[in-house]
Amino acid sequence: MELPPERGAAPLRLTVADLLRIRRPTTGAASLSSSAASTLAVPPVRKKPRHSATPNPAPSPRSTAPFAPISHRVLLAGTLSLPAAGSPLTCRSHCLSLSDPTSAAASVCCYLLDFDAGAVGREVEVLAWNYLPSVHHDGAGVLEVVDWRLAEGRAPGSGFLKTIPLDCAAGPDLATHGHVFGVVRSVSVVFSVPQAAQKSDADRGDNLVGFIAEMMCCACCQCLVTPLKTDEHHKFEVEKFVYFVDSASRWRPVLAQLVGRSISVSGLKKKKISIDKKGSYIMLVSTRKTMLAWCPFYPFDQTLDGSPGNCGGVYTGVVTGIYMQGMVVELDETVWLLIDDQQLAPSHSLRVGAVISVKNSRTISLKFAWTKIVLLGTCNKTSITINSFSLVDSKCYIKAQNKGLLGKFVDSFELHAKFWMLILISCFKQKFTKLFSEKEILGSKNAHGLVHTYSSKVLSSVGSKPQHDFFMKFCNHNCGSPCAGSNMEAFKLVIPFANFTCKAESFWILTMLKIWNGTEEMPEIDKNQGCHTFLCDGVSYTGTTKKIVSSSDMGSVLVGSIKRSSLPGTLQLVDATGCIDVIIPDLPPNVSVDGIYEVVLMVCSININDYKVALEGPVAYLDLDDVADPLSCKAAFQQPAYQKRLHHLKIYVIVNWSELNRIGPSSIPLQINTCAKLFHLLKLSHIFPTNNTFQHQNMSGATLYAEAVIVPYDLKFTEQADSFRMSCTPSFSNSNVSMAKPCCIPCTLSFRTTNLCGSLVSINSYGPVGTILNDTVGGERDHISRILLEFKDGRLIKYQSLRIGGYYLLECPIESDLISLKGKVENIHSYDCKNKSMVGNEKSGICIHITDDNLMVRLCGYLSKYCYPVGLGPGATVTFHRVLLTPRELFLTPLTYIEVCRISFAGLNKECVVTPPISDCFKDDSFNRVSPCLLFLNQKHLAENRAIQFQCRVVTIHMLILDNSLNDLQPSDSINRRETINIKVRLAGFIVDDGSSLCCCWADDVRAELLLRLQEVAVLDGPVSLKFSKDGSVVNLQLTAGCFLERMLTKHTRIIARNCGIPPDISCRDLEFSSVLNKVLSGLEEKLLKSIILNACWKGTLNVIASVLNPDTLDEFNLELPDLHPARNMPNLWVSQVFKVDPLEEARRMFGNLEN
Amino acid sequence: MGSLHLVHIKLLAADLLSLTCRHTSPPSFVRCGRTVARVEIVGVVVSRDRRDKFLRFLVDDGTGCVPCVLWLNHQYLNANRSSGASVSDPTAEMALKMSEMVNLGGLLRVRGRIVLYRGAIQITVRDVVLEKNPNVEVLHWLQCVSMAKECYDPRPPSA
Repeated sequence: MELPPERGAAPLRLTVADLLRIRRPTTGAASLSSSAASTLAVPPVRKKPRHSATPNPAPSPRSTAPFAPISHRVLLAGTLSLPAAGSPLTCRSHCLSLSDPTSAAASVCCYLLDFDAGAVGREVEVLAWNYLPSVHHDGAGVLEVVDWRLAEGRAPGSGFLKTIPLDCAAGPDLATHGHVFGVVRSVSVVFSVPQAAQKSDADRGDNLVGFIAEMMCCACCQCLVTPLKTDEHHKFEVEKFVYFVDSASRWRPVLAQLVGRSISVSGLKKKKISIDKKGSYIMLVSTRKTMLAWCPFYPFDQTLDGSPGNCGGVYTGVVTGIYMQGMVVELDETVWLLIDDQQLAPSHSLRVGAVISVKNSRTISLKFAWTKIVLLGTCNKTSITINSFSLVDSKCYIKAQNKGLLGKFVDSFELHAKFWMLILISCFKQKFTKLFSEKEILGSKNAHGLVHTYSSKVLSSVGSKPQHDFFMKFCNHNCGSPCAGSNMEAFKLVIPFANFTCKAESFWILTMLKIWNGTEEMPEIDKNQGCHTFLCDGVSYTGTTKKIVSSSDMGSVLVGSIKRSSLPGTLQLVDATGCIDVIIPDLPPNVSVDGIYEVVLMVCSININDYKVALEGPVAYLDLDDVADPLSCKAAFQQPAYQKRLHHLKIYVIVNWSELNRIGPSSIPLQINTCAKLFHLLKLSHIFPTNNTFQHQNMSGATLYAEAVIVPYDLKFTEQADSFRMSCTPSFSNSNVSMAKPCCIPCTLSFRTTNLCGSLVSINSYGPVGTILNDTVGGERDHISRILLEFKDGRLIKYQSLRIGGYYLLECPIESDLISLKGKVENIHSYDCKNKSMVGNEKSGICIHITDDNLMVRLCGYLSKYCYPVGLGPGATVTFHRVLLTPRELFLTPLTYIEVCRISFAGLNKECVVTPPISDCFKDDSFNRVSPCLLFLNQKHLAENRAIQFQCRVVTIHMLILDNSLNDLQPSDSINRRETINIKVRLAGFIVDDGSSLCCCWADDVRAELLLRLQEVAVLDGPVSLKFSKDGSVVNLQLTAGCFLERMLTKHTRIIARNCGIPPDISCRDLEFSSVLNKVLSGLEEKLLKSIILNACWKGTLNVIASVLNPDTLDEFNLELPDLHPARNMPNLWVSQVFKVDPLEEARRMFGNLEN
Repeated sequence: MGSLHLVHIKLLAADLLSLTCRHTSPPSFVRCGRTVARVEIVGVVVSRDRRDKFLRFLVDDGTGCVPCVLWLNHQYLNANRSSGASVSDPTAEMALKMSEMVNLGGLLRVRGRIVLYRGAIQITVRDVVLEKNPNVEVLHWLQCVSMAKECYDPRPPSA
């Protein structure tokens, strides 16, 4: 709406009709300087507001207020009246109506601060106001009146009582002599009930709309006489309920403001109210003759009972957060308000930043397993009023609830369980949004979802609250139910894994601080050495600490899908926010662990059914940062995106198999079994003792042996073969064995009813070609390997089935001169492996000290990070398969496979032990320790084709190719990364600047995403797009940038961006975009891509490891690169790793360099 | 070592403000015989003056105060372009967001061009990063010393 500019001293008069034409949140005031409304601080003309129109101490969630001020003085006038009978129920509970005196058709819902019941029915001048138009085109908005005055005169009525008029026509003269005088104690919301069929006076079949007021009345003789004339001392001791029904229900907004004040109601009638067939109540009911008056001079009664357990308290605070469609409100960042009934609060004014009063609420201190909170519980006697409006927020949070099975389930519980359920729903939605549909998570009207399934188990011991009709609930209300005595320890946080990682990091930072401050003891090994280092061959290495955090310290439950990591033998728990490595020491073989599992923890129990969180990382000084508590209720509701902060820290969970409880549908199928196994073929030559010597004896504890010869052919199965391990093969000689090819002989083996296809593979290069198997075994004994088989306890059955001369299959162990080694890891440190040719000329690696009860050996060499199992650390019992034994030392080889058998905590002193910074060894793919250097000094390194590390900032991009293909997560990247967007950066060329020189860095996949800051951008709001709804109207659709990008790439398949500008400057005008499908990109699509590129070019410093680009790398893309000077002369590098800069560590290193 | 005029050199305020100015058109700046045009500084915002078309602020890094100007007039520059182009150009709103990061007491990393305004050196800001870890300030000091020693101050071979 365009308003004329200010012309004179008098403020411009606005009518309600003018107001209704405003289409955006607006504030206005009759005075632009400090006026009668001393609270006003209206901004000067042509400037944005610096303060809100109300003195609001609330933190501002946005930098600019969404309410636009009218820059000149305006005076709004209208007649204040009770809400119209046709208003929605929510408005009838809270709002009055302001209408034009001349035309009642123009009216608007309004809510007044400093309410005076005397103003009802009179013309008022609104001196300061906020207007919030409805978000719906047909609905009216709401006027929030900050300051107002009566247009003229005082309210009519006697001195003691002021009548509050109800502008309806008088009905027939009934016996309406009932009269009450007392203090309003509580008021229900406006509700509707079906009328009983036998009611004669209102037998229209409609619902009866009304509300109940609870009053403490005076029973003295004078009060029985009406009208009251004096304010003599009254004793308000008799509780009465007055049912304001039909048109009298319009008094509800007035009575809600008069809680604690004295009123007089006359013209009431005792009546029996029947509710369906459920019951009937005798109560005072309003009639058409009912008169309502209030006593403005009678003292305010402040005797509301706010003791714990009673719903009589008053709490006033600032709204700091509204969640779960308005059901949960955070006040003062401290107290949580659970709104039981959506009509309790004036929904449009309940916004972040508003100051509200909650009367007749109940304060409950809740101690959950993971946190303590103060909860304000509401009930049907609660009333919520607004003391100060919010100008920093114009969003309406309360939406209509869809009461599916879950909604009804939630409603059936008492407050404490209900609040936990809401946290649970928020967490589940956050955790499984990308993995399951909303219906699968929340359920529907007919089916239970994941939340329901999970919570039913936890809440099985918690009783539901009894269900009563509204009258019963209000009149026989008792909030002293024993919820405070409930066992809240069972209510745990189902933690999103990103929050879990953040919490684990916080534990780690605290541990580091304690170590550095000397308040946490180091293990003996370090005390002796007096520093955080570890000695190996007289050389000191920086040590690493391990910290074990018990599940009871976390207070949370891990719920997620289990999937197999690409790290051998490692499982991961996954949700949409991230994943955690899991070690299950007693994982049964051949088990298929698909589905969603809950890792249960039993805090009060002493059994081993809990999990442990292992944290391993280098001992280093770490600063506390200001990350909000990831286990707080606010974090659960607000769902902030936590980022991994400590990249050197390894986090994994150790849990027993028995603790995994399946709760949901399977999503990620997993086969632990591996196919294509290799088996030795054995012919049994001896067994001892012989079977008949122990047949009837108790053989417990005895050791059983068998000797066999290994046939020089291995059997390779292409199908699942685990169940046939060590099976007797009596039919082997009858099998269809073709000996045509000496090295790979196809064969079929019959095992009872199963046929297996496989092939025989020669294991000895000197093996005779075309030799019959029996001849091999029998004829050339000198070349035959013999092995001794030991059968441990419990293998008696298998031992009994052995027959001398029979053929057996044995899963292949150890190769050639490689051996297996089992022991307990004493320590691990980075190791200089120079001159160790067997580790592939690598110049750095790791050294692992392994011990049994007597001896300690060292195992060193190069180890791929993909072969580095989770849990390999001090205290772990580990088997190293295929390690190379030389006369002097043991070496890891590229074929080495490491199996972590057991993780022991017995040897950990104070749950800490020092190990080396393993992650340092695995910083890049080649595991070379790359020295940081400046780009302009890099020529020598690059000429030698060595990787260099440097800190740089992106100044501009050269080229960018985005695909819509699935972004396969590598374990190293996925551990703490949100699986956010389903796109892939196929290739990106960045011009980077390290302060000494520019170069062009090419990267793909995760590295390109990091340089492009794609994950940071993905969670932000994307550009608003227009969408046509079913009825043809146009609606705005706000998506996150990530979703927008996904949709864009689904549409275009591949988008290529080129920068034709001259580095190092970046301008959107130089960016060119093309779609591989030759579709034209829309303005919004271009805008988002430009935003992403600009954002990347304006961000901070990153560490990059790169080596010289192989020109062939770019050939496959068939690119037309912009040929621009000076980019033409820049070195082109290929980025192998990108990681954040640790300023403290970097500063220490640099200081050391400068000192030298 | 080639020219430094394309890179954002890391400088302390005192070194930036004492660059030699050549009165060419536009003015150019010289350090140890090398032309420099762009700079990166890290420091605390000690003054802030927001106007319609620009934000002027002072960054104090302990060795001096550097005047910086962040232009917010992109929509005027785009006025002559087609409406479609300006709709798809996020520069103006992103610059506005950047200006909201400049608050008194905040630790900033500022990059931009070195310019002369009324006879004094100032930075025309390209980008601003709000630094949350106070250690970056120390690291920047050390980098300035190290870069000067290894890169900026050695005389170029041709000089």
